[in-house]
Amino acid sequence: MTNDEKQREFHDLLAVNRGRLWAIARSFSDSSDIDDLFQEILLQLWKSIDSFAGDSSRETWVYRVALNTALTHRRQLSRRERNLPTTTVDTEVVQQRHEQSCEEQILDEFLQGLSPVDRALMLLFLDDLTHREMANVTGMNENQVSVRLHRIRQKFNQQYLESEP
Amino acid sequence: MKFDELRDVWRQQGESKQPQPGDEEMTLEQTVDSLRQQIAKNRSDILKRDVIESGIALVLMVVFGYAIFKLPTLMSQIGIGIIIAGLCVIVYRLRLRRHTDRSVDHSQSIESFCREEKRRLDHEISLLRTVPLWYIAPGFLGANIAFIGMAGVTTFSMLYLAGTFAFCVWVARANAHAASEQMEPLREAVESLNAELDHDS
Repeated sequence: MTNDEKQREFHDLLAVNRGRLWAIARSFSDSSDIDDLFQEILLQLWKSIDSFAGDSSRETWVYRVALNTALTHRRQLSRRERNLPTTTVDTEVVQQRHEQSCEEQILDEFLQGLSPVDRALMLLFLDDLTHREMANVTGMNENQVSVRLHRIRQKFNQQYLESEP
Repeated sequence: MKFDELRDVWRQQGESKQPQPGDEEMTLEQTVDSLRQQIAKNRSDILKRDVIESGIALVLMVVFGYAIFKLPTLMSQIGIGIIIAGLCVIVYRLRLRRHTDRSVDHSQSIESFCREEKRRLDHEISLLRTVPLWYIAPGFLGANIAFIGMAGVTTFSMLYLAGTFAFCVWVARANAHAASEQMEPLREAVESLNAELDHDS
């Protein structure tokens, strides 16, 4: 692939997936480093663009690159956080929460409470991917995906439905 | 709110929260352009580091290679020979490490990526843990053999031996510390992710 072709390909890819990539970055980082993770995802997409062989859909491929990058970023962030004091209040988070609707807050809170794998799966669910596509992205089989999604649904119901009057 | 309604909330949220660097949204062209600049800078940084590292190793090899013919005793010549061989091993291993770093393919499934990432981290940890063997030992042995070969077994050469030994112990400990404090937690995190993916199988 020539550099121009690569650039065109990347441009098209970004035009379709930008919002999705931003959402992944937002779900896997602190408010202060969303931009960093977003840039890192774009960088990995650019580097991986030659490896797209067409054996999976473009959408699935984008998810794989973005989620692998986000999970790696999350690991590195956790390592850094272990060495930092956590007494400061993130004013950006407070501001963001203030601007969010109640439903958005529930969604964010629920996503943040999930394990990294469940969070990744949940993002795929929210974007309407089929179980087969989810299995393709995560490396689990379709049965495992169903079981996990069922548990996530149960967890949500326990947390937010059973507490409703 | 029901579980399936989360999709609608997600869609609305996605529409209202697109990337907005500063007040103006960055256009696609600007994003691609800034990315290309970043990649070009990364490449030039890596190239610069490679050139500096290989350059220093080459200069040292030439200097030590020249010294082999000038040194009076066979023992000191052997010592310098060990240092040169050690330099070759260091350059080779560092290049190999960088190649392994670059080769992790992000477009694999999460499960395969974790496996690959674990392999990479294992390699990195073993590299740090074996620093005394491939990084320190040849230099330490070579320098001391060459020194004793030239100066003989004197108080000064014994002090030199003790000094270099203390320095090597410090370097080895620093690397072992980096392996356990920085690399091991990452490896554990990858393992726990892997375990989570295997949980229902």
